[in-house]
Amino acid sequence: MNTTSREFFNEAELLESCVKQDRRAQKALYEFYAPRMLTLCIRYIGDRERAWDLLHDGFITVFEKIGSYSGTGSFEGWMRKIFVNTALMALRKGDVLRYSEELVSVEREASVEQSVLESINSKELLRLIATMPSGFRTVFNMYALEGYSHQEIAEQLKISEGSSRSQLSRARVWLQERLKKQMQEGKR
Amino acid sequence: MQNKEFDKRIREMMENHQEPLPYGSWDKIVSTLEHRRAGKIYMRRSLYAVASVAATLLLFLFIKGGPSSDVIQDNPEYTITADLVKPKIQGEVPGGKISPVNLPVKRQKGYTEQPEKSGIVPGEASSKIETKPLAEKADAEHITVTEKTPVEEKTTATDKTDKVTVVKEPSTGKSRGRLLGSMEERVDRFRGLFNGKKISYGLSTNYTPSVYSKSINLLSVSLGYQNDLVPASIREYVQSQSVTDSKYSMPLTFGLQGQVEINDKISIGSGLNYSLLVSNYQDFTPTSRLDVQQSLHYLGIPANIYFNLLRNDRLKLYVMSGLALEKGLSANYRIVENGVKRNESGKIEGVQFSMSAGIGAELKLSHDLGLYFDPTLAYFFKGKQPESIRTAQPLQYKFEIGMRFNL
Repeated sequence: MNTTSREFFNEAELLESCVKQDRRAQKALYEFYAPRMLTLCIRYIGDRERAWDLLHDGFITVFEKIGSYSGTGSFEGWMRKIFVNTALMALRKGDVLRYSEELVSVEREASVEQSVLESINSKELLRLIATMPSGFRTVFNMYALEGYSHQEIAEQLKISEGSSRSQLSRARVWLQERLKKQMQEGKR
Repeated sequence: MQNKEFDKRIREMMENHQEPLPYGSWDKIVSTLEHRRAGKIYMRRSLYAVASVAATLLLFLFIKGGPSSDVIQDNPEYTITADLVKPKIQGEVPGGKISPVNLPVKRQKGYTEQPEKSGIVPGEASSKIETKPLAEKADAEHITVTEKTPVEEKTTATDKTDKVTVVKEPSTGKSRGRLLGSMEERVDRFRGLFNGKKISYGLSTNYTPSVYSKSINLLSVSLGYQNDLVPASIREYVQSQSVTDSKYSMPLTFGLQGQVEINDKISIGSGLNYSLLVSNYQDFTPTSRLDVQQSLHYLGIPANIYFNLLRNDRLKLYVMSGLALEKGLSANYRIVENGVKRNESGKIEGVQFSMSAGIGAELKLSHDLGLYFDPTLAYFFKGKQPESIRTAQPLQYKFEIGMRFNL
C-alpha cells in the first residue's frame, strides 16, 4: 500500500477502520485501489468520463457495504465484483447488453504472435479494449480478464452460452487484428 | 500463441495498469458519503418523530382508555340506578364506586349537571351507600336495576332524594373509575368554554413530496448570481467562476391542532406546527469544493376552515382552506469546505406566510378516534426568508396524515 495507507498496520486494520467510517482509512483504501478500479471501469464502459462516474458509484457501494465483506477470499476480488456489477448495471441501463441474435460459435485459435503484444504498452492496450464494440468488450472482459465462465456470463448477461462463446471469439479476432495493424503502423 | 496464453498476457498487462485519477474524485466521494449519512440521520430523526407521535397517541388512548360512555350505557349489567336518601350517604361504597351520572347516563336535551345539589362527591369518605353484589341489588330497598331504559332527569336532585348511579367495576378498581370521571368532568368544563360545541383535536404529520433541484449554469454565475444558501460569512470565498447546485429535501411537519364545530357543516381549526426544511448546496471550482447543508426550523400557527361534504358514522369528507403563519426558530449550516467540516447557525428574520386549500377524508376508527388524510395545495409567499424549497417552489402539494380525537 502507498504512503497514506502506511498509517495502518495491515489490511485487516485498514478494513476495520473503513467499517467504522474512518475517513482517513477510506481515503487510504481509495488511493490504493482506485487507479486499478478505474482501469476496470474504462475496460467495461469504454468512455473515460462515464468510467469516472462508475468509479465514484462503485466506491460509494464499497464503503457502504464494506461491513458485509466476510474476509474469505481477497478483498480486491470482492471489490472487483462490485465494480463489475456496477459496470454491468450501467451497461444494462444503456441497453448495450441486448444480444438478440444467436451467434454461431466460431472458436478460433489466436493468430497473433507474442511479439505483437510485447510491442505495445498497457495504456495502448487499454485504449484498444475501450474502443472494442460493447458486446465483444463485455464478454471479453468477463471471460479473459475477470475469469468468469461462459455459463456465468450467460446468466449475468441473459444470453446463451453459445452467444457468449461467439462474442468472445469475435472479440479476440477483433483485438488481434487491431494489434497487428498497430504493430505494422509502428514499424513504418 | 494459443487463446489461453493470449488472454493470460492481456490479463497481466491490464492487472498492473493504473489509470491516473480525476482531480477531486475523493472529495466528491466524501461529499456523497456525508450527504447519504445526513440523509440517514434525517430519516432516523423522522422515524423517531413519527414514533414519538405514535407513542403520544398510545399514551393518550391508554389514559383515556376503556369503552366510551355509550358502550357502558348499552350494558345493563353494569348500570344500577338507585334512589338514595340523602342522610344515608356516609362513607365509601364497598365493591362499587359512586360517580356522577354523566358516565352511564345518556344525556337528554336540556340536561344540566348539578353535582352541588346532590351532595355526593365521588369517592368522598363521608359518602355512605350500601350496595350488595349484583344479584342481590335488585332486592335492595330503593335500588332498581335498569335495562336499556333511558334515564331521564334522574340526576336532578330533590330535597329528599338524590338519584345516583352506581357503576359496578369488578376488576378495574376505583382509581381508574375516578380517572374516568375526572376526565369527563374536565372535558365537560372544556366544552363549556365553547358553549357546548363539539371539539376535536388532531396530531398530524405532514409530508410534502417536492424535491426540487436547481443547477446553476456558468452563465448565470458569471452574471453575478450568488446563492442565498451560502452563509454570509463564507460567501466571499465562493468564487464567481464556479458550478453550483442546490438540492432541497422533502419538508417535514409535525403538529397539534384543535377543531371546533360551528354547525353540522362548518368547523374551524387552529394549532401549532413544527417544520423542518433541509437543503444542500454544492460549489465546485477547479481548486476547491464547498458543501453546505442548511436546516431551517419553523414553528407555525395554522388557521383552517372545514366544510363537510359527507358525514356518517364511519366517514367524513370535507373541503378545507386555510392560512398559516410561521416563524423561523433557527437556521443551521453544516459546511464541508475542502474536506474540513464546521457548523454555523443563525436567526431567521421575518415570518413565512402561506395559504392552502384541499380536500380531506376522516375515517372513524371509534367513537372518539379518527384517522384523517388531507391532500392540499399550498402556496408559500416570498418574504425575507432564507432560500429553501418554499422559495424555490412556492406552490407545493402537501399530504397531511394524522389522528383526530373527538371530545
